[in-house]
Amino acid sequence: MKPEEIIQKIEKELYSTQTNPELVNFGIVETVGDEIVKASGLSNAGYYEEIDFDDGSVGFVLNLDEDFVSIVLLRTSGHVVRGMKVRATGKVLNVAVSDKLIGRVVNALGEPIDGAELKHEKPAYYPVEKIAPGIIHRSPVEIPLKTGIKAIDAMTPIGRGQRELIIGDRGTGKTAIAIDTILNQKKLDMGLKRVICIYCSIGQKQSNLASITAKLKDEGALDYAIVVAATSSDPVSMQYIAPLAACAIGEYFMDRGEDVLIVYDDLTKHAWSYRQISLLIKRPAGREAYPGDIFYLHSRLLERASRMSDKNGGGSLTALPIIETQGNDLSAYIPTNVVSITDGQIYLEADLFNAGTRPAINVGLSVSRVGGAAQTKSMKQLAGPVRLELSQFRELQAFTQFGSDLDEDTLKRLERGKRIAEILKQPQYQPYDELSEILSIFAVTSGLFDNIDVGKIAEIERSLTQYIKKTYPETVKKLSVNAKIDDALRAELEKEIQEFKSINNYGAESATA
Amino acid sequence: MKISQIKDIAKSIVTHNELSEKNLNWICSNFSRQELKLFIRLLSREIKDNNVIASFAGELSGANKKKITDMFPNKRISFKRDDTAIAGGIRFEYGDFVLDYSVTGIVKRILNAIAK
Repeated sequence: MKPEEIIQKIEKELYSTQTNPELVNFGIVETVGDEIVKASGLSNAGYYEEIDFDDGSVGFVLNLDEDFVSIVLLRTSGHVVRGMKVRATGKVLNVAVSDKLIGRVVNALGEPIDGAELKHEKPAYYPVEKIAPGIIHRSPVEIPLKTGIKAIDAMTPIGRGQRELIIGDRGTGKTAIAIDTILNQKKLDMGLKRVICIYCSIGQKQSNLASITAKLKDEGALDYAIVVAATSSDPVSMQYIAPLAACAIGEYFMDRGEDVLIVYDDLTKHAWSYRQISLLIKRPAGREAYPGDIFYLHSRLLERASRMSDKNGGGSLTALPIIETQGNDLSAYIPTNVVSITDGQIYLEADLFNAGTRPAINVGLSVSRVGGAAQTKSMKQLAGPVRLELSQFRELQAFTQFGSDLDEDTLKRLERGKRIAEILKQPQYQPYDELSEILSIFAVTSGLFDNIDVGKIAEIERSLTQYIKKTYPETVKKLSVNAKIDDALRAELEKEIQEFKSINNYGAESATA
Repeated sequence: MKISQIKDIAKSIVTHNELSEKNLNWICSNFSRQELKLFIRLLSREIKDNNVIASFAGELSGANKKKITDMFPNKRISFKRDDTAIAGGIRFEYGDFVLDYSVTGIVKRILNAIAK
């Protein structure tokens, strides 16, 4: 800054200074330990109020007892001592938000951790804890949020404003699904408005976070994404606040009428951090040593995801919480809690993952309670038979192990099921647009891939999509309009796919195993 | 003994500003260890709440002292001169509140705002 600018700023501050007396509520530190400070005094302190220490440390109030308050330290210089004065700031813990956050990696306090300075211009200050919008302010979830993953967009579609849980054991691809969803928002598919993405990393390794951030940057996703990070080396209080702060950032954009996607990776570690803090401030322990309000912690966080009515801006906040199970146990405490809160779950299985089915989505146990309301008419029409055929295939698969003779119809179903399962596989970081998804699913459900070798399905699917887009723009146009696939369009598509097959000589070999 | 009763004892000691040896012996022999700890805590809180420290710089006239006494009825005011920390104006400390009307306080607020 130039010296003149500095002088101007100082003059502005001097003229605007209030000379009214300042009333400060202060306290004295009585005990310090494990990032929890007990202070006497602070008789006027409120829940979640920010507290300043004499040495520059910052904390917030989490327990109000008769004679003292428990303060959880967020940032500490390490010099907090007994007898130190602490000061209530009079404001609830909040985070500064503005458009400058887009493309940045910040911590739970909204401070940059990506090495560059962050200067907000006229920031808004959003409280980390906020009551969720009421029913009157919301509108139904009807607009799709495309993940670009065929299995999800067809069978467990997500709408803008929904909460869809991604649940599974470690190493099953939960984060991969979330990242692919974020990458897919670059496409602005179906002419929908942009989605601001927030990836909230809770208790993850720094190396993981670095690789995710690098991937987002390489794919250009940081043009519309924000990363909020509280890694495993950060204080547990930061890990506790991180998803709340990320939600506050999302609400800022939602209040401006934008659509926001927020990924909480993962809420299991968030529950652990809350358990640790609660035990340290001597709150009574409940089941599995979690505090009694662990359900409320997640329910109030996830309820803030909503689609607002047009009168209230028309924005939306879609939440993709991630939960890590242990040994495929869906009936554990935290998983069951979050399953009952969310509007559906995408269940990933390690067995499917190891067998090569990636994304390893268990179609039978995955559900979206919003369902077809968040799908286009054509996708809804095509996706209906897919789930049924797949579940029939899984059942019939058991019979093949007996090695008995199967009738022709059963053999056909098995072959069709194999091809559907194959078409639903998808490489990482390659999200599909709506049109490609429709073409792939149509080709396999209409039986046009029945005479193609299962191993070649993936390669042929890619070529087919490119061929149709290049050769038949009229068909592409008809599919882009949100309309059902009528008989005429169906006949047209079948003809074009047959043409593609005959040009490339696909299907000439026997298709049966 | 109930907490409310211990609170009343602490309050009356501070109100009457006296604790006789006889009463003190009674308290020590009739309170349990936990009750005694609570009593000491409540007593120190009462003393803090009932006392106001008015820190000022330079001289404070009798009329101003009377005005300050009227501002805090039913409380014991102690006047403290502190030319270095206050510089001008006055600062009140009562209970766990600080009402800062000093020049030093205003300058600090300006500096903090500029630093932000």
